[in-house]
Parts: sequence; structure tokens; C-alpha cells
Amino acid sequence: MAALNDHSLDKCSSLSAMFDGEATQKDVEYLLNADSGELSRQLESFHLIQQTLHKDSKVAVGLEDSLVLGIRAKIEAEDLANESVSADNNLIPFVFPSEKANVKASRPAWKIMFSSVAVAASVTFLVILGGNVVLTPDAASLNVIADVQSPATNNAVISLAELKKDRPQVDNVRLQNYLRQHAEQASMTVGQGMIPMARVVSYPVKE
Amino acid sequence: MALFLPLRTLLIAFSLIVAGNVIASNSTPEALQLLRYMSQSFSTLSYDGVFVHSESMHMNSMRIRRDSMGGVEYESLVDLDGDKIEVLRIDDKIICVYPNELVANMQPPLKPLFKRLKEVESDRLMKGYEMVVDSHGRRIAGRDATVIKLIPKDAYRYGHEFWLDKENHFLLKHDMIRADGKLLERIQFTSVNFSPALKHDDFVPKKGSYLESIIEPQPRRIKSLWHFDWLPEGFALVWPEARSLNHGTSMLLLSDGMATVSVFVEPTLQVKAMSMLSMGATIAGERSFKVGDQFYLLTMVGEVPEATIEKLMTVLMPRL
Repeated sequence: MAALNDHSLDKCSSLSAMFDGEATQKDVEYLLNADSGELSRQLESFHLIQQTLHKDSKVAVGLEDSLVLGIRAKIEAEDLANESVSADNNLIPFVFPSEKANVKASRPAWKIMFSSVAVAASVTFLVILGGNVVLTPDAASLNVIADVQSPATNNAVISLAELKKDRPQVDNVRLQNYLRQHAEQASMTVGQGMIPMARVVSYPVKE
Repeated sequence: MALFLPLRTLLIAFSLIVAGNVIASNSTPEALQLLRYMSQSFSTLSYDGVFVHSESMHMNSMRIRRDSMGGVEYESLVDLDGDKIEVLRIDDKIICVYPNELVANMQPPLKPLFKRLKEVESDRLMKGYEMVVDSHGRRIAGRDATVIKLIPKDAYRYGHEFWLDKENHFLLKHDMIRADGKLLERIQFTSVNFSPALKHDDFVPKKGSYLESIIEPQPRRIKSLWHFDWLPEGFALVWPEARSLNHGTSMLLLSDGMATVSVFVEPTLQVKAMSMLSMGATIAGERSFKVGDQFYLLTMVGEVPEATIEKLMTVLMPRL
């Protein structure tokens, strides 16, 4: 029974993360592997609550029963199409703002779909919690398109400032450690006193 | 007459190229000497100054102080914006102080393994860079400066411009520039005093400024299990062996005399595709690879172009 509760909690937690637009790859995978009927019922109940609290049907986000199945089908179709792409070209979710215009077109369809759902779901959540907050799905979608992408072939360069958002904490700590080690060695070798340490002093090195 | 125009243009262009090369080659010994003086100035001068460090969209002002008292070298770097983080160096001991956090890091002395290098690596620098000296009318922080330009000979490193104080060769400004001319990182002093009245107390962490110290194990020299199949011209390993850090991590250090690349290799259970991260001129790359049945995580950090890190990450091999 406890295991069942844990399972339900994990699912709710992943669903909630998706609603907040903060779903990790793990959350997404978890939801995709979950029972679609059960998920749909959960989504429906959110939908009913939203309708009860907010009667404006224009803000409704259209979370239909077939949503998860649809996404899964899109992924499978895309996997087939991308079989020749090597593992080294794996997706990286963030890029510099200047590069965003170029990468929008390369976003896989299922990601666009999932992103839109996540944002739309966030909108729903705002409506549920706020009761009278009016946002349009279009306006919210703009934010997601600006932030999320998947390069098709090249390794995109992520800004280190984004580290805290999309990496496990243990990876951040390890990399911050290495950045500090590197800066210390640079300060010993390049003959500029402690000036190379400025790179890590201005960077939030916390453990 | 029109026939002579292309010829004249060609001659002018040729003269300019020749003149440019003459200036560059004549400047190299002078540039190297100035870089030598710059390096020495950081360990001989006393100073108390404020500089701005800027990269991409971030800018931080910092105070740097240095003095030598009783044969001991003291240096301090304080973040004047943000979190008031301070880095202290007492001889070769580096202490990071976080005033409002529960964490401080104190590294034990690392001598003689990590003793500061005071020599300029002339041969490596000449392999990687053309050098030009310009000593005409530059002023930074109210002081006259000489400019040294390091122009990369290939795409594996960035360009550098150093503004050195004409009087004492202290570094007043440093720009790191990408091949397309984009400024990646700038350090520029806004004020500096070369006769500061510094005391020992200026280099002691304030009471209550940190609550906990983490002592990292002292790195040990170990035989390197790794080697590079290829290195960009001028780059070489700084240490003949590897350094063993905690959790079984081996560290190697590459340098071309100006740019440094740190290499970290550790056993891992995770498979990780290659990813690149950047902060101004600093690029960090990560990927896992397999040797026998064991996966290793490779991390490289350096102030070199992304392509350099990417290529270096594919040419690290186990020693057989």
C-alpha cells in the first residue's frame, strides 16, 4: 500500500512539475511510462476543477484523453526518423538568446507539443489558484519557445549561468569545483596574480 | 595608366604586409620581455586597486590587494558587488571566504607542486601567437600604458591585448578576443595605488564571516594514465604527471604559455553525451567514454574556443 502511495505521489509530483513548466527529463519519461488512462483521468479532474473555478472556456487548454498517447506516438515516429543520428548529438535544452531565432525550426514536434502543454498547463494552474487570472495560451507559449530547443546536429553551448536550472545539484557542485581548480591553476601559471580567480569569484561557487 | 593601377595597389598591399610582419617580428622579443616584467610585477609590487571584470552580459567590480610582509606573500581579491565573496592567498595557501553562507573553502598549501610559475614560456608563446607592441598614448586608470597584442596564429586559441603600466609593467587592462573580433572578457582597473599602507589584518578573514571550513585532500602526483594523440601548436602538459584529486579524479593541465586548459578524468557509472558550457571566455566540456568495462567522465575547462575543447576531448587516450 505504501508503495502504491509512493507511486501515486511520484506521478502527482511529476504531473505537478509539468504543470509548473519545470518538468525534468525524468518527469517526462515517468509520465510517458505511466498509465495513460489514469493520467488522463487526473488531467480531466484538473480540467473540471478549472472549469468550476473559471467558466471562461477560452482559457481551457484542451487536455484531452489522447494527449499522452499522442505525444508517445510523436516520439516513436521521430525516433524512427532519427535512427541514424549518433548519441553524441544528444539534445541540450538551452542556448544563447542570439541563437534562439535559428534553432526554433529545429525543435522536434513532440517537444513543441510537450512544451506547449506544459505552459498551457501552467496557465491552467494559475487560473485554478488565482481564480481570476486571465492569461492567453499564446502569450505564454512565446516564453517557452524562447527558452527551450533541441539542436539537431551541433553541440549547443549552454551558458554556465543556466547550470542551476537544468542540472542535478551534484553535477553543478562537481563542475564548480573544477572551475575553481582551473582558476587557481591559471592564477599560478599565467603571471597575472589572482586576477584569473575573478572568473570564479563572480560565479556563484557554493557547495 | 589604368593598367598600372592594379599593380600599384598590389605593391602597396605587399609593402603593408611586409611592414606589418617586420613590426610583428621586431615586436616579439620586446613583447616577451614586457610579459616577463608583467609577470614579475605581480609578485614584487605592492598594490591596492579596483578593477572591473566583464564577460558576456555580466560585470563585476573587485578589489585586489597584494603585499609582502616578513617574507610572506599576501594577496586578497574581494567581490565588491553581489555576495562579498573574498579569496585570500597567503603564499600558496588559497582561502575562499563566503560571508553569508555556511561554507568556506580552505585549501592547504600546495607547494612545491603548484608553486607559482614566474617564467614566461617564450617558445610556446611564439608558436601560438604573433606579438605586436604599441606604446603610443594609451591611458588606463590615469596611468600611461603600453599595449601588447597577442594575435593567434590558428583558430585554437583566443587573441589577447594587455595594457601594461609604462612605469612598472603592472597589468592595467586585459582583453580576450575571439577570432571574429568579439570581445569575450575584459579586466580593467579603474584605480590602483602602488604605495598602499596594508597591514597583516587586511588579509585575515573577518570573525564570523564563515562558519565552516572544508579541507580538501592535498593533490598527489600520480602517474598519468592518459595522453593526447594531438595538441594544438604550442600547447603542452604543464606537469609531466597527473594530479590526483578527491574521488579518484586525475587532473592534467595544458598550456600554450597564455591559455590554460584543465583536464579532469574520473570513473563514472553514467553515460554522458558531449555537452559544452560557457561563461565569457571560459568553455567547459563534458563527456563520458569507455575503456574496457569502465566508463570515465572527462571534463575540460579552459579559456580557449569551443572547437579546441571539443577536439581535445576526442583525442585523450589511455596509455597502453
